[in-house]
Amino acid sequence: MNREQFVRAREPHWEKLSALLKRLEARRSWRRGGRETAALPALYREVCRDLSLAERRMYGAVLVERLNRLAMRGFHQLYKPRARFLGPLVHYIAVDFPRTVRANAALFWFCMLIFWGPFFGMIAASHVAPQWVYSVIGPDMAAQLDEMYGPDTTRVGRTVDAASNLEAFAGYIQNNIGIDFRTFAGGIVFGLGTLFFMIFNGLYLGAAFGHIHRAGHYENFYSFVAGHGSFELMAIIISGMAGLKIGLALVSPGRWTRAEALRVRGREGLHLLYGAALMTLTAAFIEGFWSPSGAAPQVKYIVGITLWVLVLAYFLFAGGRREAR
Amino acid sequence: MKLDTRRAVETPEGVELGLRVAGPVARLTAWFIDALIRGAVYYGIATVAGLFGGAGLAFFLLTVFLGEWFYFVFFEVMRNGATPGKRSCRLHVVHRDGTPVGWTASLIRNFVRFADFFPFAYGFGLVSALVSPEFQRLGDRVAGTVVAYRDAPPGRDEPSQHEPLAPPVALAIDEQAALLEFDERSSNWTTARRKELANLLEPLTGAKGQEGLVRVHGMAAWARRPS
Repeated sequence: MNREQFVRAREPHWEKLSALLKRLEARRSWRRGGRETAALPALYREVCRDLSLAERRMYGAVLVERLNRLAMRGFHQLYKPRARFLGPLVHYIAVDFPRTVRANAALFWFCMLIFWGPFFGMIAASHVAPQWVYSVIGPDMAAQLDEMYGPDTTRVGRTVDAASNLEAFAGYIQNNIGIDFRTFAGGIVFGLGTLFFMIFNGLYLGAAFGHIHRAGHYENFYSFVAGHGSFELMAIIISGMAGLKIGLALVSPGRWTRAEALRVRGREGLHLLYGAALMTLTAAFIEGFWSPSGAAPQVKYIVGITLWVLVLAYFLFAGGRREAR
Repeated sequence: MKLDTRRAVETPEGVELGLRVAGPVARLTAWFIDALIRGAVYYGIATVAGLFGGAGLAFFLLTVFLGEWFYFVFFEVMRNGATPGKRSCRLHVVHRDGTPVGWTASLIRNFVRFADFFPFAYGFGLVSALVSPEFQRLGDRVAGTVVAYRDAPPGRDEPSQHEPLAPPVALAIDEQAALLEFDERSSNWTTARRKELANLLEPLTGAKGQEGLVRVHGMAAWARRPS
């Protein structure tokens, strides 16, 4: 059989596969299946065989490229990941996420240390060496904090230009979830980016708390942040863990090559980052709609403490004893 | 010897498929188109949302958040690995083994994009891509992905005006492909440049200058119609 005979004999099959692929590619990826797809595996294997033959028999680059492209398109349709969403999400929240956090206990405590250390250090500094606080937050931020939490504020927790709860909520999402993602991304620089974001966030938030202590706006401030603090601050810890997963893959890859470790740890990091983003989202809801509500400070404190207990209990106990990964 | 960016990927069916990895220029063009699209959408939404005050601003902020972090992810997962910009440059994102990307890989590569952008104008990403044999930016390395051309190179399947000339030795597929690309691209070059490049192939053609050039074109014509 020469090239012309080969092409003549096989052409109809290629046309058939090409037409089928065209229909499958046009279809949205979340609706698949149906009877016509049943023909795909057989047609795909045929074109794989034809490609090998054409290459082996030196039928020329043009034909080989054409068959290669056809096989590649078939390969893509056949090995497309299935898009499932809700089931895995529930399982992730109920089991996977808390288990993964517990399985990385050392990393968790390290992140707690590099965040809460600078945080409480800054609050302590506000009582003994207040100039440290203002070297971090600067006079503009201090004035803004006074405006938001001072005794004559009109809306606690809001600057005058943030008009509605909805608007503030959107702002929190954009800003805070963005911080989670950036903390994760910073891991690629041998973990240094993540360390920077963690320590900086600890210092900055600690300085803000420190200024509040100095100015004495305790009630307005703590009743506002009580509700969402647990979710928001623990999410920072988790995203730090996610970023350091990547960083550690480069610093200490263990028995893998660095490239290999990066891919494995990157996946584990993303697994943690999902949880951090969900927690930050929850925090944004609370901060946008509950924290500025008119409820009495005592009620807000009770809700806040309850949420802290729930979040900690979730990480300690949710998902059962058996450890994941 | 590596002639171009074509990489072989072996499938579970035991057949080798060719994957042509894309370089920084094509990817930057695609990114720029995507940036223009996002900018236009933001501008449109800002104009309309401006009429609705606070709620409008909230909607705008959420759109920007989703656009900046999830634009690439959405299109890469839902539209066969290609954002509109990549599609227009005939690129798509695939795993290193050639399989299509799912949520995990796409989310990772696009979240790490922030680090690629550092310190400015994709500095880290560009350095990473230039030292990687597969032009992987940092995000691609973590996610295990590459950006490849969707199509085979534009193959003119019309007969060449040159007389087919069988090469003195058997040529592998990628060597044939290189000859074909030379043939196709040569109309963009000056005659002097064509001869200069053809001179490099003297060991194959056994001639320099005009004669060497004619022989290279002849072998390309032979590669096109080998039977």
